[in-house]
Amino acid sequence: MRDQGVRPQGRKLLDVVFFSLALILSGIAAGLSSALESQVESAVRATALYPFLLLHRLAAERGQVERRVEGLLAERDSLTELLLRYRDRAAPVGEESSAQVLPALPAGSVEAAVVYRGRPNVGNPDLFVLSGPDFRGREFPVAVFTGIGLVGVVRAPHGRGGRGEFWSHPDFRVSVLAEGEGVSGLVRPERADGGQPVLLLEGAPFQADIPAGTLLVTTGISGVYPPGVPVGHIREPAEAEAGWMKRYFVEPSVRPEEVRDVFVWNRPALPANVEADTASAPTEPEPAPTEPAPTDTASVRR
Amino acid sequence: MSPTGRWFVAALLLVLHFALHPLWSRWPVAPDLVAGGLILGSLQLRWGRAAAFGCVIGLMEAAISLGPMGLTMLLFSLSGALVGWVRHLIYSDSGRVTPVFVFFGTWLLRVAIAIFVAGDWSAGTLLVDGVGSAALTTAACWVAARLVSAVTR
Repeated sequence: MRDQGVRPQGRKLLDVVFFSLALILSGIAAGLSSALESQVESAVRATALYPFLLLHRLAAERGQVERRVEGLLAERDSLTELLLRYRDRAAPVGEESSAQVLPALPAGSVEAAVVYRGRPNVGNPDLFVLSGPDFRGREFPVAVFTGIGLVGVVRAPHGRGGRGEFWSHPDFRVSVLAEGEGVSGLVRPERADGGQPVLLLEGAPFQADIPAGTLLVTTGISGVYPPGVPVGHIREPAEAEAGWMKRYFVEPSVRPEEVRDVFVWNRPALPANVEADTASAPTEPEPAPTEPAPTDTASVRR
Repeated sequence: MSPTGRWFVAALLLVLHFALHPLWSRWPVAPDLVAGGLILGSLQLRWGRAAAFGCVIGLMEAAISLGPMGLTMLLFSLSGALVGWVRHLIYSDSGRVTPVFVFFGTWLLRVAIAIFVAGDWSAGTLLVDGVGSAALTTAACWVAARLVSAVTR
């Protein structure tokens, strides 16, 4: 504002103060650790942005009723296929011993959660925040999946919820097994220039050919992800790794942009005589879940 | 339009941006209403306060988009300060210049975000998406201003 062509000095100083304050706050925010930044974000989302996020949730829930019918039909078909596969299966040798061991295997439990993903080009579309379960005091990482396949992993708390990474995040890795082929390997994301992210299976033996369309499921090694969760289907072979390992492009089962309602996996407590994988799994056993745990893979998937 | 009316337009754009946020990630070229709101708000302020205004809007944008918080706040602060400073420099209070501010301000902000946040230097993003988004934002601001004018007349 100008008063008869004269600029008051006080206001100019005030401008400098406001500008400096904005720069200092930006600098402080840039210097925050990932965990602290997540907590600030969570506080803003829980206060100033809360009405907008509530609106998004209500709109999504309303629109999801129609999509849910298609999803239920797909799940029914998937379960029918699974049922037929197991019904036609010959009884393995030593079934009694397997049956005795299986109930003793802890499967953990699942909790429902809602995913909110980052905005492409402005935020990070490989990240998401999760609301629903209380992640405070929990050990990380925590697996996130749907009835269709693996979604990603929660890495840290975000307010009461969690902050995680989709499978499309560059840091994502999961150990998988090709169903019916007995071939295992490690899957990581691959993003072609300007294209949609896909997955890449690495470490497959050179002498084994995995046909296109083969389903890859998690092995459960390291205890981060439950075993048997679909990750994707083999699409085509990629360039071999130094001539002694094969690589395959994998079409993911779940696309991050389509995910909303998910499950988080509560790892079962490890037996006292088993040591956890210190690279990716918790070093201390978790307390036993209070809810009755599903005992088979199909229950965990659903 | 009165200053109150201009503030109302800026607030309307910001509310629409955050309310319709999931829609904006569906198309590469979409109106950037947060940039429109920031620029219209900054035009009503001196450059220092415009920077503080940008800082707050940047914080909210980073929180909802899961972007890098410090960088987003900084870019929004600098954009706000720049708009406030240029308006002050050319003594422009004319409503006719507002679309020019909105267009170039939005383009500049989109280019800065594409380069520094997304790390995208492609000509398609900077020129086609950026210009398209700026043009749509300018059109959205114009429509919002006409609506507010019609209601408050």
